[in-house]
Amino acid sequence: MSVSQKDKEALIDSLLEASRKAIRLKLALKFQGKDAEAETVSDKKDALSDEIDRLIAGQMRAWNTSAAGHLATIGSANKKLQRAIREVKSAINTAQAVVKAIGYLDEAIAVAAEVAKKIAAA
Amino acid sequence: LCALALLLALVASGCASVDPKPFATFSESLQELRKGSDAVLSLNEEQNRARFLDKAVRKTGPGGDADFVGNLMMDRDRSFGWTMKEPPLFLESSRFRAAVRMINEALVSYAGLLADLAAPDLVDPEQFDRMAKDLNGNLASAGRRLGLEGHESELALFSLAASKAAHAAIESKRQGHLKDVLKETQPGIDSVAQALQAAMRIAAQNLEQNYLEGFDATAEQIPGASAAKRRTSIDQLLRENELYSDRLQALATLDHAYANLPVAHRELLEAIRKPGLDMTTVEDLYESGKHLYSLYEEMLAAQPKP
Repeated sequence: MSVSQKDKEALIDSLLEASRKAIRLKLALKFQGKDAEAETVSDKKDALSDEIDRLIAGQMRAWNTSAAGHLATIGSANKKLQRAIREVKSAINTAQAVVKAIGYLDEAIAVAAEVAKKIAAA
Repeated sequence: LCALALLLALVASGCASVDPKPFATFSESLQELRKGSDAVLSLNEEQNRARFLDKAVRKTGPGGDADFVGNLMMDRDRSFGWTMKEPPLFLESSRFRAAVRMINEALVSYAGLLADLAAPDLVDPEQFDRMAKDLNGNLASAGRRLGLEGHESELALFSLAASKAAHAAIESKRQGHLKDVLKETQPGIDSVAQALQAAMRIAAQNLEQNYLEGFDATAEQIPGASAAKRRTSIDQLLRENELYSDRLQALATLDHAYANLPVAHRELLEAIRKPGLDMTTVEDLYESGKHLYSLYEEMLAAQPKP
């Protein structure tokens, strides 16, 4: 049976709580001058700390693996937005091109009128 | 003439522009979230590395753990990457920070592109007014050359109606694109926000672990020490408490902001559908970003100098 992310989170929380208690115990023993016992607790706490590090590293590794899917989702949305911006700009350019084309049409009519005059005069 | 005037009235009534402000606010907020989350994760990463070095020194003395050093050896994989038997926390946290940053970067780009698509200068009404004038000038001139004089007012109205129609069509195209992307991306934003909240919880556990290890190292100096040394150590514990509390507050702000991200994203769609609606969550997201910025400045100022 696989352990869920939530369960792993809860496990790390409980180990952190155990680590906190070990630090308190170690301090209490040191204040009582029981250095040998304090050293034993310290060794256990260090082993616990290594385990917590390993579990947190595992959580990070699992998170990193899932990050690729999220990046792909946002990346695809970004491509759609870039395409949309290009389409809007292109629509504006087309409208401007139509206005310009009518201006060129005006020039073409002027040339045609000039040619017609010359033909008539010939 | 009447038909043209009617068309003009219809077109003018149907092309309200998008309010760009919520989009710009959303974009600015995400930039602050990116900066804040990276700042907190970079502090964790530095502490993880320092703690690893301390542990390495302890474990590699006389009669020490040979595997501890051997396990640091990297293997090259076929895709020019590397693997390690059991990467230490500081290496995983470095990759974790990079992955969180990449997702935040992608979100910042997304919000920036949304703001660009909603920006007033993309579909500028003045541009269409100029187009109407140019069109009118060209048509009037062409009309004169074709002997169609005495229709200047109809041509002017036609030019205005044509440019307004073009404006309305392009504005509608812009809004259609915005609505489509916002709707299609919403499920993705929901899951990205959940993932980022999960990342902040992992970062909080990492932060707590570093805090406890630092507390332990300082507190164990106190029993049996001189009064002056005890004072220094206790002062150090108090400073570590302040740093821990600031960083937790930053993570809480990030968690709150990422929880609000999908709601704020949904509000952007509402901003197009119902212009003038209050964007309370977008504003809340912005406030979180500002708060995070001030925490970030405090964290940098409180950071112990090397």
